Amino acid sequence: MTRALFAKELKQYRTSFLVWSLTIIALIAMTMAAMPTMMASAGLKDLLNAYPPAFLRAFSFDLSSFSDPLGFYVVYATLYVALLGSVFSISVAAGIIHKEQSLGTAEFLLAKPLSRNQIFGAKLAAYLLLVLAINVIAFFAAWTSLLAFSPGPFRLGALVIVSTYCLLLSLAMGGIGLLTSLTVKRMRSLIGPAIGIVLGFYLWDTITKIASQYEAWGWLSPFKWVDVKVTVPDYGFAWWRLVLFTALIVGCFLSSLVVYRKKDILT
Amino acid sequence: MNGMAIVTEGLSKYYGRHRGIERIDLRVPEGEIFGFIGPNGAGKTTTIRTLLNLIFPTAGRAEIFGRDIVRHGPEIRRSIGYVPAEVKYYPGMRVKELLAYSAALNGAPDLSRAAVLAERLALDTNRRIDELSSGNAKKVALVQSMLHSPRLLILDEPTNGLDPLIQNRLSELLREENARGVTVFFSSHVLGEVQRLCRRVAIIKEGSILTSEDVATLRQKRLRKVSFTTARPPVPADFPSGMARELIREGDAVRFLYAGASNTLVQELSRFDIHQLRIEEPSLEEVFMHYYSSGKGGTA
Repeated sequence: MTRALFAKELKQYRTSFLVWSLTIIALIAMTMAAMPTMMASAGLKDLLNAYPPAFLRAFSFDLSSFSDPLGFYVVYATLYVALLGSVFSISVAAGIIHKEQSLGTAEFLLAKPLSRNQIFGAKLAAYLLLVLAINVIAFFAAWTSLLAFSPGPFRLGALVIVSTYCLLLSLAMGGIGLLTSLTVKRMRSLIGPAIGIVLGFYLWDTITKIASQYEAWGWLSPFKWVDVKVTVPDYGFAWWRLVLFTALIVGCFLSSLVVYRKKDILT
Repeated sequence: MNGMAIVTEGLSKYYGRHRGIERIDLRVPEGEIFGFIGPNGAGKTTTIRTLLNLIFPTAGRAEIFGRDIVRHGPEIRRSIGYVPAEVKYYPGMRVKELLAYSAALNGAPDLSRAAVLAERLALDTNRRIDELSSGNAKKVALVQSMLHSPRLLILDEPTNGLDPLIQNRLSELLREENARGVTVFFSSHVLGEVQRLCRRVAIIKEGSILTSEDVATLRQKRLRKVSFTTARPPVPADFPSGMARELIREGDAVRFLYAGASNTLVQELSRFDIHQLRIEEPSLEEVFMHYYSSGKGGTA
């Protein structure tokens, strides 16, 4: 019974998944195709040198990235994965329950012999598979682009780590989106608030980096939790970052389940 | 509570301070076609949604086939077929895909019964859901509610949008299901169909049950529709208090509803110079309107 629900959820998002995946692949490929030229351009380095350090820090521009292919990827292409992956994730997560209510099909579904745990579990499993898949696709797009355009060697392990952070970020955004969709009343459209939440967190992180006296406030945004300093030699997973992400993701999904189990379905 | 399909005790639902339903007490025996009537907004759909656990009761309890609706929701719903008042399905799906999906969710993926039901109700299963009229969408709801052979059918305004021919076929179908032992909980504001189909009925008004009894009892035992012509038609004050309910005068004709002993009625009528007299059973609609105008306990 839950398998049918799981399959239907996957089918429902297949077009959206394809569009978002192709967009991410195209943006990564286009950006990375420019890597050899940009890395060789002294003028571009001079231009970036002219910007205030806070501005460069805000957009994760690291001048050393011009000598490291992976650094280049992180500075110029990870933004697409982080932002687009997060928007895809939050729009799917926020829709898994909300869409049934806005379409009026929740009554049909909940009249079936499935517990709310089963419904939530099947829908969440479909969502997790989609988000994992889009992040794996982004990883392979990055890897093949680096193989194709990198003028020198790069650390595959660091690419795995930064891609994992992107996956955790998109899951965190999904968790926030799901909980919001279940707790905010009268939310008619999903995509607007979904983009708003992702951009809001991203801009919060950016602004607190520019205004360095408020930098500590930046930790309120999960974007800040992503470690992008791939050029440092001991770059690796920081356990406390993983704990932060895990707590937020698990907390949001569990809270969403608790809310959903007690929610009146008024269609 | 053995032998009962539905039992509710003090079932109440409030939305904040707004009343949904209040202290609903129902007993629907297995194998019965039970009518649940009341106008829009009376609480019929809220009662049904509470029974299906789509919404949670604020107070009271309910059992379906002896199991608590909140604790055993999924098990109970395995035995239930449900037709909502407003049918909404997934756009982009074809009817046969929806039926297959519904069957899979019910854990009964055999679609042979769906084909038979669709033919009986003249439903084209190759059509897209988005292209269906409200009547055809209702047919989809009816087929999907019955394709897993449930023990209890909960039908909320099931004939809305159906043409008279299909309404008749549905009535036949429901009688056949009932003959197989299926209990039917039939919610409607169309009294005629309730009168034709149901043996017992509950009338709901403003969230509360006014009465719950046999359709025949409701029509025959309690109320008489009295009409007569006389040279000097009486006014309500000419009768003992509360005797002539909903009295209407039209020229020399007068009609009213009477609840009480026949002898008392004859004695009271003997005071008038009556030209023509008719004492008959009221229609269910008149009974219903009587309950609505007089409120709870309106009849003696």
